[in-house]
Amino acid sequence: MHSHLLNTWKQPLTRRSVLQLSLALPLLAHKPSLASNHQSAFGTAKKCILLWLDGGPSHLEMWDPKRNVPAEVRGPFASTPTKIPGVHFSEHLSRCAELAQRMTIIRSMTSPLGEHGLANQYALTGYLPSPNLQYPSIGSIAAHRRKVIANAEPIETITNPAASKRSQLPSYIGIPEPRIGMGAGFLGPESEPFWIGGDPAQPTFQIRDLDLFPGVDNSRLQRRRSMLNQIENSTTSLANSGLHSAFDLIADLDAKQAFELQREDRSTRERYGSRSFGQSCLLARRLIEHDVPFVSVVQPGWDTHENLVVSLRDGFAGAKVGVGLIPTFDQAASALISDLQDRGLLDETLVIAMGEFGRTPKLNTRGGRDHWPRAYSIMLCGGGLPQGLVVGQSDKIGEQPDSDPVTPADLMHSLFIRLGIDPASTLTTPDARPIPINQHGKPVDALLT
Amino acid sequence: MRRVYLDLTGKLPSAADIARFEQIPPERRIESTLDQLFASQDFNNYWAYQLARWLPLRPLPNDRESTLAYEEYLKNILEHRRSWRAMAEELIISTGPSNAVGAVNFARLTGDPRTHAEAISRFFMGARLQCANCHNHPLDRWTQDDYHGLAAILAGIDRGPKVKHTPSVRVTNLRTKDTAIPRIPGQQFLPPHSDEQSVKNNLQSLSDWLLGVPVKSQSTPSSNTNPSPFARAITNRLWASMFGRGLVDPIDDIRDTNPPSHPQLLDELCTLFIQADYQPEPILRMIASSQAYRRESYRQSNQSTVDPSFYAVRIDKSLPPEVLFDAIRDTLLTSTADTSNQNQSERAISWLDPTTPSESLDILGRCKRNAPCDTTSQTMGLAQQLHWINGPVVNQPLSSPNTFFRQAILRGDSNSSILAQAYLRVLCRHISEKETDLWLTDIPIAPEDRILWFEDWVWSLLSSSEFLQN
Repeated sequence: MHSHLLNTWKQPLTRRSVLQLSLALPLLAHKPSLASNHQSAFGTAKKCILLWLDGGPSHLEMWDPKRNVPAEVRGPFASTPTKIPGVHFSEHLSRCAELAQRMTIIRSMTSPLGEHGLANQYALTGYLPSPNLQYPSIGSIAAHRRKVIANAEPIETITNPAASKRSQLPSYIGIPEPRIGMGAGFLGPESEPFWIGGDPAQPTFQIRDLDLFPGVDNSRLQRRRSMLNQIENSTTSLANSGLHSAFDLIADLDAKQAFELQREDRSTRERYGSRSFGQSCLLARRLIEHDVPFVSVVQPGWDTHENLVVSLRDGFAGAKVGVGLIPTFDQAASALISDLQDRGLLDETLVIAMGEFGRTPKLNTRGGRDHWPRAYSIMLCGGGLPQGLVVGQSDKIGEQPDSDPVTPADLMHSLFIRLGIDPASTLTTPDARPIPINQHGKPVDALLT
Repeated sequence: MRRVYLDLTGKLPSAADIARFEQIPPERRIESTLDQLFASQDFNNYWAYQLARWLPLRPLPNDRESTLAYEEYLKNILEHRRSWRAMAEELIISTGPSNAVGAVNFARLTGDPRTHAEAISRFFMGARLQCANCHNHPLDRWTQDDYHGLAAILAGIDRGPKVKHTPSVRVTNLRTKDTAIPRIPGQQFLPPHSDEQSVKNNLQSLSDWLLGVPVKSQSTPSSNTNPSPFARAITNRLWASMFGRGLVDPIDDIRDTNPPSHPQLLDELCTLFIQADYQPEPILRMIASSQAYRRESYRQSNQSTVDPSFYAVRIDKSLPPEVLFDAIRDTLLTSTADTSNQNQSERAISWLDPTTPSESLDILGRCKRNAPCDTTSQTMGLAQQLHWINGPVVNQPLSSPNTFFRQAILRGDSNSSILAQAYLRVLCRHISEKETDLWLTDIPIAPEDRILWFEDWVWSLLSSSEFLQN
């Protein structure tokens, strides 16, 4: 379909052309040199929610079910038709199937890395992991870029008071706990995600240390802050204890409300599902509404080496209504997408649902599937992406891509373009070494037109 | 002075320490202070903690006794000033029940020969041998034969609750797909394990090689000049803990293609360490007395680009979470009266087990030691900042009735006296006239307001980079 275009990108880059490109970059900071038919894709997504299905979700039980194959490949579940003609999802993704006309499914993801730690890093950073350098995750890169741009435009914030009243929320928030590969790597602590650290499904949920210590009121906090400023200004040290972002956040009452799930009415909370992942997705939507540019939500437990029926569908042995990983995901993700749509946020918000790899085409002896990075599927939605599209396909048993293979580096390249980040730009390590923001990635044409 | 107290004992000097220091004639100050520090219990505690981080010590699941035995073992090394050479040998060769022989827990914690090989290479050699599991190390001389050869030696250890030597376990060399032959990294192959004694012999050869004992060898005559890899790795770690940066940096990445910044210095310090029978004091003493160590961290604004890796200026380093936690309490509280809990020391530095429960330490970024934790410098992330501002870590001791400033107010001390006490306790220096003037007029008269003012002001001192950095 778009192979002719891919070919022009497959021409080898010479050292010289790379040097020329990077020399030209400062001039092109806001106008990346993209292929002409990709220009309109640049920056269509202002915000991003990453649903990280940790452990490696089975493509065969989710986005790429196989019919007319032996039972050991097909697995325990049937499939269901979706709103995209001729495309089926797993029967337990029935709610997502109803929204498929808004989604882009990639069924030809492929990677050589089948170990959780390394695969996490590749999927989340787009860089093949290296023992010498910790690469930053896409969320940290997005947060870092936002900071660079904010620092570069001080005039606007001075002349326009409205612009200076920016939200004090962090630019990259993770829910609830960190996973390998989601951090800032060499970009350093300033670009680390803020992990909320609690379970949003608990009635007592709140962000730790966001409220004042008993006995210390707001005026005292202000006094402490100004005293600290006086002390820091009077010393000659270059260092700064840098408590400012926390002071700003504590003082920003509007921003703090973003974390208060109890402000949602009961029907909205129920729509997402009562479990952690559902309420985490709801929290992500609130944060997006409060202008947080990047939110990662982790759903753990997808490393399903045994008994797919229990882990993926039922949740526990003998469950009457399935509360396993897939129904939980199905409810939360579909609620998130339709809620964003209802609020007019879907066009500017990119939703990504992926894990680090897929699962083996054949069931193992314990009724589970093992790690399989050679072919797997992911779901993208919103942010200006094409709607109702399936990119690539896997072979008859989901063993490897049959067409249009997409590596994590390729995917990241296209996601950067959608997020308004020039994939040909560079990042800088603490020892001042320039690192290309994307290595070996080729644009996925279908995602960019 | 603050620096040397923190670096050698993990503890701030008290006001009394400072007064004593100032009474010593200037030319004898350093020497006499070092004598006192090396003789202190705080020195022992701090370096046992350092060893626990380096090794690293972790709790054994459901085996509190063995964890305690391991902790005791490390504390003993310091308290009885045992040679670290003997420690190295014991960590490698010891056998026996793990709840009695602390040293065997180094092996127990690794679980299997390959992990054990990686732990040995990291602690004893400061090298990352794990790359050679799957392929020859791309940037170094380690080969897969080295990696699997080391694992093959260690396969002779049964890591049960009673650690013993056994010839029965084999590991596979992933390159040849055959049983790996025992081999000291980069050296000769050793005889395969046939009985318990052969395991012992091979472990002895390994330990000898790590300690630079000339190896009796038929193939490599040059091995007589073998500089102890262990001494080199430890020397580098000692330097790094004093300076915030290793002569080889990062400290667990000693390899031919990552040379030391000052090779001759490293060689000489290493020789010093070996001559001192693998005791840390002489090196630490030499470093602490050096010009390089005593450099100002102060930089003129036009020098902001000076690269501190060559020690022209001081490298700022943050206090480790445990040290910071203790320092907050030491600074604020006058008496240890509220340390009523007899069983557990209140000082975080003596909690060698990183899972000793403490929410504050976790938020401040205590290393869980599941992965190597050699990072030295870290600015506070948002969660830490919030905890610092709103959490109990500072606020709780700050509102205790035992704070020095509440006691001083009760005694009827003047405002300027309390300001001066605070500077001594928190920043370990005298307040300047300018600083006194800055604050003195600001202090309210009403008793309640006065206490709260000092609470807020001391909080700000504790939050300043002068306190948080070393």
